[in-house]
Amino acid sequence: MREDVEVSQVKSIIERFKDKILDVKKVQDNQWILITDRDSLRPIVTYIMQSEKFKEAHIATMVGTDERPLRGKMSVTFWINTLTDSMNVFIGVRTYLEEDNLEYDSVSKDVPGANWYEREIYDMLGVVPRGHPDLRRLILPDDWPDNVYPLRKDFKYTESPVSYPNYSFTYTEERSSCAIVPLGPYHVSLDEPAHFKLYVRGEEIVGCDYKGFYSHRGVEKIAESRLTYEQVNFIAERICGICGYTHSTAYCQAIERISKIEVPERAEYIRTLLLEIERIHSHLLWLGVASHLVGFESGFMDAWRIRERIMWLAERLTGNRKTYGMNVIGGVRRDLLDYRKDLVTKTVKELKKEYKEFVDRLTSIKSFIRRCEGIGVLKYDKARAYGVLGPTGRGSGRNIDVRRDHSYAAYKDVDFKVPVYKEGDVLSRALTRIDEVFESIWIIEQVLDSIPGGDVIAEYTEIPQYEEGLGYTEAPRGENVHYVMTGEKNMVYRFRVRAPTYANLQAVPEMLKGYTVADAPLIIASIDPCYSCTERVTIIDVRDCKTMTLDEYEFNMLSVKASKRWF
Amino acid sequence: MIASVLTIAIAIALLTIFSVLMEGIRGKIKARLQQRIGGSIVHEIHDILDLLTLKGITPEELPIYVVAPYFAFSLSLALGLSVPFGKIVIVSGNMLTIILLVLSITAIISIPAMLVNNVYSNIGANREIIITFTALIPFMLVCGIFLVKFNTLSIVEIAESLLVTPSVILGLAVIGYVVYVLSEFAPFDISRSNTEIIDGIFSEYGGRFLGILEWAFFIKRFSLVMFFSSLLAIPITKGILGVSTYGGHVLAFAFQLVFLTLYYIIATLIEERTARTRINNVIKVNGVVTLVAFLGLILSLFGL
Amino acid sequence: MSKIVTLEYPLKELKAPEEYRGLPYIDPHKCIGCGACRNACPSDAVMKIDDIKNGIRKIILDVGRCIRCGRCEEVCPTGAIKLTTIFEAASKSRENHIEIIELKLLRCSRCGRYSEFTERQVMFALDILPREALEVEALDKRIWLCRDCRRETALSEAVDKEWKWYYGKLVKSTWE
Repeated sequence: MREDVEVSQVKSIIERFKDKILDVKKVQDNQWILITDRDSLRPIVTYIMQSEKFKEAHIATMVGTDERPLRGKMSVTFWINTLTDSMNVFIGVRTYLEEDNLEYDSVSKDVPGANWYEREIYDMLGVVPRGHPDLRRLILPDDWPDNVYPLRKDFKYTESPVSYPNYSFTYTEERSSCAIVPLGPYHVSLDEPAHFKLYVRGEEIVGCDYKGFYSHRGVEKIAESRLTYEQVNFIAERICGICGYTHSTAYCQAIERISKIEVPERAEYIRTLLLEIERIHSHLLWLGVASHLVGFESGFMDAWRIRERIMWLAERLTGNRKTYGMNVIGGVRRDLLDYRKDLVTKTVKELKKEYKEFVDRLTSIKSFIRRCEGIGVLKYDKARAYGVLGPTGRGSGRNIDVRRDHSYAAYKDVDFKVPVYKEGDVLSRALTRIDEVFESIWIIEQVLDSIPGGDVIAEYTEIPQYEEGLGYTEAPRGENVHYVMTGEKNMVYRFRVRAPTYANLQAVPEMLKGYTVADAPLIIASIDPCYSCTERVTIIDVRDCKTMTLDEYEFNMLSVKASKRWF
Repeated sequence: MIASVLTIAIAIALLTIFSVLMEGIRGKIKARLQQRIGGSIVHEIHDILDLLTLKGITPEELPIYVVAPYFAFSLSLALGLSVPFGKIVIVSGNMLTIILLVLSITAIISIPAMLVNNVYSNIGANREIIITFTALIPFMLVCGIFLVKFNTLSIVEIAESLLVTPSVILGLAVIGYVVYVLSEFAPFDISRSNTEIIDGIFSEYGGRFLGILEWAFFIKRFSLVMFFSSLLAIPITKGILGVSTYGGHVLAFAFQLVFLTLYYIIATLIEERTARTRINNVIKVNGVVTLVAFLGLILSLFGL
Repeated sequence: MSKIVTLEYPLKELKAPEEYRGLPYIDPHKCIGCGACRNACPSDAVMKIDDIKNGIRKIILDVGRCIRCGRCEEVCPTGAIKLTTIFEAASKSRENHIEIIELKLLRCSRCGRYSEFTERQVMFALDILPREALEVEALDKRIWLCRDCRRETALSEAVDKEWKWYYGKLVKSTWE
């Protein structure tokens, strides 16, 4: 198999590592797997992530699969999205581990962005990354017993074992004089439960610790255990409260690519239209939330008033304001009738006018700009090391966009720009999002002009068993990757979702250091966190802190008071 | 005797009820600017009465928390009664009294918030103390201007002898700004900011105590704005009527209420267009205002 | 001041547009109890429970589990289950979310036991089958029986026919 590899990236890696690569497998046109042994995983992954040959490289997802029923081993695969000037490829570096020796050399010391992925595989599957700097529980609750791993195939999805809680926030350095500000799990500025422990001196933040995954729902386990392919489509849509349609599209694309189903062009165009509608509503929501967090209430009200137009449009097109329910494997369920097309054109025209006025007004408010400028800076090299995605990454100078790099749906037929800003502060992320809305409106206009006729759904007869593939979309928050391995009896064998906030949240402690408590909610909100997508929370190491923690009672009373609203 | 009892009753009714009503009116204006229906005008009164019926919650280990709201309330009422209503002064009526009472209110609210073991309260108290101090320094400099020009610190006498000179204009402008800061309109409402420090200095109060504290803050804000309005209303009345008659008192009172309403409306419109600021920004701006007040003092020493 | 965009909901009514996918509703006059909706529902909101002894089929719709996907509406053969435009589903008791349709199972005219399809299903099948393609008498004999009785009568008729043929041959040969 390795003789007929034409892709230059994969060829250069094989040439460099020669006999360490045991096998090469081509999964799709732009997805390759290199199989290696447990000791070579770390050098290969580090080489790919830090090589100069690639314009940009970040970890797309990392999958641990319990393949003991299939071949008696567990597999660990790092999927890396590599971008060059000629071709963009997902390279998967995989190793198989025997049941009695589930260890491999950890990658996180060289690649900081791999931190959470390795903690997750340790937590859910029991695979130990040797030498990990911070190997603690990531997802499972504090009172989950040890040595019980939910994602293994011998664990039934209906079990829920309980033991005594034991969790510690670790302080890695000496304590000196600083106070601790707990931001969460219930805080006015967070939309969902997450816990940021801020170590402060006066009002300046010197360190941050993060614990989360309070809304973990076990979507992956339930998809493997009791849902058919069509049903997983509906659950995928409900992973997120704002960007559900991108998850559903990514999953359907994964299955369609694996089964070589040709989705009709009209269906691709309709999918693109709905994806862009979702992007507009998500960015307008973010603009409102950011204004609200700095106290500029009238910006909040304006942004959400404009957003209502898009929500009504989505309701008339698909039947619901969010959760469109339009995807099936092989296409979409409802066609874009003519009266709906006119509705979209009219709405988009009015929206463009109102949005332009709103943006002009917002950027002229000096106090708002002053709150956003120079805050929460993340420089390019840190952004690349953590693999930060989406508008957060583009605000720090990373020129990545899945719609352009690995074209899917109808994006290869439409023309759009990708805004990139260099400063890396909250203002550049805000401007990136503002520009993206204009681009989305332009894409919608093009789609409506050139939508072809034809079917909207393709017939398919069977889905092959035990084949794997990736489905990817550009969610409003960044790159969204679904890994699917098909199984038997109409069910998936492994379904792994990696949402963009998973990669972005790892960089938040870096962004918070050196800024004040007043800026903390805005910085956290500037990555547009979608905790339901991420399903997790992690802790970041803290330095020099005094023990001025709140105990559980005081902490709870804080949360009680937090629900009282002032004018 | 009856007249004085009547005036005291009207004053207290105005301070306690009208202050909360004005908050409701401000909310309605904001809502209409944002194209919403908004709550009713009396909803703030309703909310405070609701809060007063709930059980009061405070930290157990600090008994000062139980008495602080009542102190704050009475001090705010005292502040309200020491500013002129029309031309009548019920208590004191001296510029120094205002400084003393504002400092006392800040102290009685911030000291418990500093003592409690809750970082949000501590940060809020920190901000509150900084705001009050940096705003009162220019205020004291303006007292100096008035002392030099008019040789008195009584509010009514100052207002009656106001002249249009550069130092006096600067002094009035500085007082207008200081009243805005001490009343904690946006962008200066940072000691209680909700999204950052979850109610700041008020975060350890609950129920009845929170109701009394909110009421105290509304009364404080109302009193300060009444003070500034009287500095504008009395000279204008004097210009029109000339003598201090019964009609003069009523007219002065009417003008005062008009200026009060205008001030609240302008504050609301400014609030609509600004985001909350940071504490180091507040110190910077207040420092600039201090320099302006100092300039006014120098000008007044030169007779301007 | 520009136009007001808020509404004093719930004091004023708010209607969803006609394309909105709201709560499902089963029309009891049209439902035939086929269970196609139960097969299509991704979240098990529709259940089909048979009581063979007493001959009752229950179609139980639990609106609380419904995810409003609309697949049941797409597969229903009679158009009985439809998604309305109602979106207010809050209630003090969970029982208000449950709707039960009871249908009678077909009682076999030969043995008296209940079969596993409903009377309405049989009537529906008769409605949609084209008259010209049927032998109406043969259909009438079989269609009101349960599966076991159909097998037995078919078998006994076939055996009878076989005997008749054999007997006929026997008689013929004795004649000759």
